[in-house]
Amino acid sequence: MEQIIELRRKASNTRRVEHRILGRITFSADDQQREDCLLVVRREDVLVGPGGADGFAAVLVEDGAERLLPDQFLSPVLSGIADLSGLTKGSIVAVSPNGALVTLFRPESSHNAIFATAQCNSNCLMCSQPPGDDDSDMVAEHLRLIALIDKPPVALGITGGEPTLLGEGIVTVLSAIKERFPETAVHMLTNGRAYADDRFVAELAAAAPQGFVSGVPLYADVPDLHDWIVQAKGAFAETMAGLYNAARYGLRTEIRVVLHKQTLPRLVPLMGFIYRNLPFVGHVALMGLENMGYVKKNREALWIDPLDFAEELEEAVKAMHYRGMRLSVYNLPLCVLPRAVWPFARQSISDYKNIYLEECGGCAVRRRCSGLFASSKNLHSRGIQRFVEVPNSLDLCL
Amino acid sequence: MTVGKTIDFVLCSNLSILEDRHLDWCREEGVIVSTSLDGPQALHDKNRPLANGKPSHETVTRNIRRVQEALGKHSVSALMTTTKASLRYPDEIVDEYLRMDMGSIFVRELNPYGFASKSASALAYSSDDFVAFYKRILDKVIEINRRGRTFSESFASLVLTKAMTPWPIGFVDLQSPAGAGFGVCVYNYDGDVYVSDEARMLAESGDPTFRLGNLHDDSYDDIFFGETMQAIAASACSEALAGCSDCAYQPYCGADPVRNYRTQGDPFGNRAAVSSFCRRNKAIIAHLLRLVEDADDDLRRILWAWVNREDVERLRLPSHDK
Repeated sequence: MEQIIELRRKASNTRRVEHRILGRITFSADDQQREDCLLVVRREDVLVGPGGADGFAAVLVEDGAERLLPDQFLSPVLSGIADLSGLTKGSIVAVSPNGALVTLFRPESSHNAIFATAQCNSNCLMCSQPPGDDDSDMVAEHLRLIALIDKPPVALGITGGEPTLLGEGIVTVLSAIKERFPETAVHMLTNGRAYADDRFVAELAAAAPQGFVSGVPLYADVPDLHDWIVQAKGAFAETMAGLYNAARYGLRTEIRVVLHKQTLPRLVPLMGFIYRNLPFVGHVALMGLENMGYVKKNREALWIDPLDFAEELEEAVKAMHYRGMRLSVYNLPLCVLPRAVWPFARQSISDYKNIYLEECGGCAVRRRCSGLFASSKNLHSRGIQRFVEVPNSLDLCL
Repeated sequence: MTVGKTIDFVLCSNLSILEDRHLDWCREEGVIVSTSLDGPQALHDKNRPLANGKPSHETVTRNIRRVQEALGKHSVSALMTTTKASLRYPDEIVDEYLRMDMGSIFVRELNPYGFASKSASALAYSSDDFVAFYKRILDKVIEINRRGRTFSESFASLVLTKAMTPWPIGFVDLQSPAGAGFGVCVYNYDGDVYVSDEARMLAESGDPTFRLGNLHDDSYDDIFFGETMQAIAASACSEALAGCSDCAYQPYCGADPVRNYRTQGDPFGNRAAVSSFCRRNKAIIAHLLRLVEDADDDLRRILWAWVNREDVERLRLPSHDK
């Protein structure tokens, strides 16, 4: 079992934390930009000298390390935090008056994403991140986050919620990213419904950085089934219009299909539909279910063991591969996939929630395997197994 | 001025003359070459003597090699015209194409124009004979691909592209509205403009019906919106032609007013009763759709490779270990 990276922490005491503060992690009292930084003080650290803790955005103190601080200093402080190991220099953390610490950005990861908003205009049966309300000025916070990142990230996601519900705000965020990190590959998960407004798409396209990709879900080739799955009438028509607008304004798109009981019956026809009607789409991702959010409550309506849809999956993969469309399979470990699908399986699960099971120990293909979502630890395919050696036919794709 | 179009230039030549400077020019300008190769030496020479009566096979095959070496393997393709004599040599014809390292063969029925119509009795055969011959060649071509070599039949690729993809093909014989005048026109050396090469051939044998005008005398509007073009347009949409409009294969086929005029005396024609174009295309399109419908996984991969100009082996996916 891998260790899951902890993104949330709790401080038992706070002083002078009057509002939500974003800062960049530092371990050195010598840091030049104290007002942007969160100074971390851990139990094994040395004493912080007089004035050494002043002027920081905040000071984060591990439980038992309070004695290392000067008697008097002026920064906001969060103390009594159980464990600050695992926080890396340059990470961006948000701290709140109630003592909550949330890691928003880790420089060592390629899976960082801006959580644009909790609101959504769809309500998908299998949403892993059910919609809610925002409790702060999200756009201001995203701009602050972008300003605090000190080295250009290779990749940056934008997710939610539905990011386009920020309206002009998301255009502002994209402009800020483009301005500060022109080389960063930005990928936004959006249901594409707002793209039905061509003026909005034109603005977005003008603001977006080079290589910006919109990952848009399309769950069926027939409107009523798609609308049912996303629980929003008219969504199919809006998303289709949106995809055409995206192509018209030169925005790159990817289609994302979550694999479950409701999408599988039309999966293969959907591939033909995408090829015929949306051939400009740059990539299609077929994605295993994450056992989070609504999936837990809709499990009966959604869950099907990947072993039991192997045939449809292979057919869908071949349909796209033969047609020359780029396709990937996300979130499904190799042992539950037909061999023909292996060349398309990617290590897609974000590092902080990616696990392998006991059965995976010593598996010969593990270095190429997606592993599982942490949430699948106890609920996963019956097909999980170890390969003693790399199967013969696969030298080429591993 | 740029209008954002990409244009492919193809030089159609019998390759009886090919100087190094021609090759240099093709390389510099990105021009590819289309020629004719009817099969092995005896057959090709019987079909295609040079104007001085000498055989041409040795010259054309040597020059195909020169083009391949100078411009790359895929920069030269060939049409194969079927005569009565060809019908007995389907295997030998394909073998000749393989020997010449060609990537495809385009099996063409004899056209009712020029010398071919004059020599009809000596060269002609029934549409049914042609269809049987075509199927025989196609079977052999598929076997070659099953053994791992990418080699396609071009008419099949065109019909399959229409049936299996969202893309247009731009092939004059399978268009509706017709290619003639809409998708193609021919500028002759003397400034005459024709709706198609077939229309030009018709004029060469004395019937200028489909001459649109002359660059020196007529305006753009006279040429492309004049009476001749309007006559073409009236008979150009298979969706609206009796006998075509309710045909199951209409979306994969096309209208050919020039050919109808040539063979039946009017541009609308009577497809179902007497059109060899119709009889041949219906049988071949039905055969191709049946192939797609019944295809095993290997054949499906092969047909898609033809359509997408892919390598059949590169599209192969791993299967479970034997």
